[in-house]
Amino acid sequence: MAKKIIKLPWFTVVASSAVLVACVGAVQQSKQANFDGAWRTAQLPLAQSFAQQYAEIDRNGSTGDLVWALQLGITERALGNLTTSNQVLDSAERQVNFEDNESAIARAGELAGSMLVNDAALDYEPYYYDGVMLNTYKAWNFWQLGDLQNARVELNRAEERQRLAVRYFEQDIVAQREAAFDGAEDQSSLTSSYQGAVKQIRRQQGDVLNSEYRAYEGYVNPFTTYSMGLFRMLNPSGSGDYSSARQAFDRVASVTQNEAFLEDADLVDRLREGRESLNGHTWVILERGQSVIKREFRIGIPIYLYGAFNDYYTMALPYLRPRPSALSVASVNEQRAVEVADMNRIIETEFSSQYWRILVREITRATAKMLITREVARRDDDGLATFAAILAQAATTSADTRIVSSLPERFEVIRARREDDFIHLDLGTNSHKIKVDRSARAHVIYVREISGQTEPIISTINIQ
Amino acid sequence: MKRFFTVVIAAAILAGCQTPTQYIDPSDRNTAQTPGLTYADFQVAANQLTGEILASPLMVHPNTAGGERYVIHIEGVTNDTMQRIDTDQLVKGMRVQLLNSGRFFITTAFDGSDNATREMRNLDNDPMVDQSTVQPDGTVIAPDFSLTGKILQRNSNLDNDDTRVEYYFQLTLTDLRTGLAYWEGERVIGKVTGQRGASW
Repeated sequence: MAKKIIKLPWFTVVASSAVLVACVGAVQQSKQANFDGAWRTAQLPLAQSFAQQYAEIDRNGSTGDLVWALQLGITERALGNLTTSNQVLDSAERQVNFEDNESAIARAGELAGSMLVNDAALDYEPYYYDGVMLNTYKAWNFWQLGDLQNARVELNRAEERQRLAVRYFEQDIVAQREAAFDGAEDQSSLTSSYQGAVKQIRRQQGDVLNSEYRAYEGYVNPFTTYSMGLFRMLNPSGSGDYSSARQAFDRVASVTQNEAFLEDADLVDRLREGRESLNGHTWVILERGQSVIKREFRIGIPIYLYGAFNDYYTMALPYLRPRPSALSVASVNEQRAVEVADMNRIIETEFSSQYWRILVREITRATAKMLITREVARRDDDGLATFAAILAQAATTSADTRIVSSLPERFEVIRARREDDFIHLDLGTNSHKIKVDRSARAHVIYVREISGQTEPIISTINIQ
Repeated sequence: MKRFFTVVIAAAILAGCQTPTQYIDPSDRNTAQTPGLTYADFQVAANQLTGEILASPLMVHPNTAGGERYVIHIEGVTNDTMQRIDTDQLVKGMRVQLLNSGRFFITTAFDGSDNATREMRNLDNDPMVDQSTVQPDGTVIAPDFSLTGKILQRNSNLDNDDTRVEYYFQLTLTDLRTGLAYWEGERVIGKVTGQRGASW
């Protein structure tokens, strides 16, 4: 008996595929919620287990999912597995470099493939701050492992990523946006839809477009620059390192507008000139709280076709939401902590600068989906295909909320002097007695405090 | 059958796109280039810097005719680049050329490259060893010069958005008796890359 071949209409196939791919957004949101729940309560082994599962690292050490490789690398660091952390972050770095150097043609192909679904179906595009923090963490891992050569290399890489970020941000973002509009097929419709969307967003979710933060001057991450200065001052290989350290501290003082960092700069000069020695100097680096996360909001925006208003379309867009950390004042012998960098400020300024791209992509997608639904309805006899198309349209409406959520809210530093075998760190009402090696010339104590309710993770570098 | 041929042809096309493994001349600076440092870069830097040391009149032992040579201790070369390189790639090339010149000795007793000079002296209480063959104390030659240095990397933007990558090989030979630098050398290797992202 001959087999009966069932021919499915093309739009049914497209709609079913779109619904399947659309699940990507929901799955990603569920992964993020699992990890964030474990991280928030500092259940690090559980967070590690989720990140391991999601990072898809194969036998060769290559990751299938960049955002989770970054989360895993940071989690391994928090657990004190510094070598594993570096291996995972190495794998993440290969992926970051691949994404950065991906050709325009490959990007366009990827984007075209995602046109009927959403941004969540695209590979995670790392932010500049992701790359900078990746190398900064690797540098600290190596430093804590005593591998000074590789720590230096990683700090150089982090600084180079900051230079690449400046290059990106210095390009006129308005000019880039205008060029994107000029290149559109139906330029007037895209412009009208975009202006309509901006008006709606300002009304409903104004803070998305009006970041309360201003980027640090030169778009630097002051913590990375401070780490570089501290490393070169404490591990100099020639007088050039003292000059670099001095410049780094001056820069941090300038971008944070806090003269407290000039104390470090002055110390560099005294060390270089032999007027002072590292006699028990101690730096307590505090990595505190939890960075902002992405959440989704839905909004109806007017879509224009061939220059005329067509219909309203519901769009899902991401926004940044801060997480409460309940952090208290940190101090050593009444010497209070000074903020080195506000990570939320760094994340938010980069996110805001790219928001127009997200919006343009979503408008283009909305227009395409609207045209498809209309075409399906025109050819549909029994209404089933139209129903499937509308279902697919609704299912594919989902924002990309992937973000590296294991970053801190802020970095701080306390300068202190060793008085006995211990450094007494106060985090609010909680006191921590940290043992140091008295034979060492100086100490760097690294503290990771995920929230005010969780136990801090403390490690010490003794400078011999 | 048609589908089989399609798969075979597609696989052949894909395989054709892949670069087959092949031998290259590692000293050739014009093929298989990368923004990072290669053997060819180390070779050029080592050749030029060693050439300068050999040409320096200060680096000639006053009793060369009597067979005496300067002894050099390699203190270390710091990797201050963005590349994970082993700076011995530079130093080894220089050691070989300096030794082969017949004008220098390189000591391995103090730089950690061969700890046997120190460790084998601990055999003086080992009943298994013929004590007359154990190297006595007071025979290791202290160095006359120390070689130190740094390999730096500096990246900058070009007007066309390409990146100019420069590597600075900086070395110093210090006379250990006086603390004076007898020779300093610098070689710069520059490259341009169109890569938008990191150059490592």
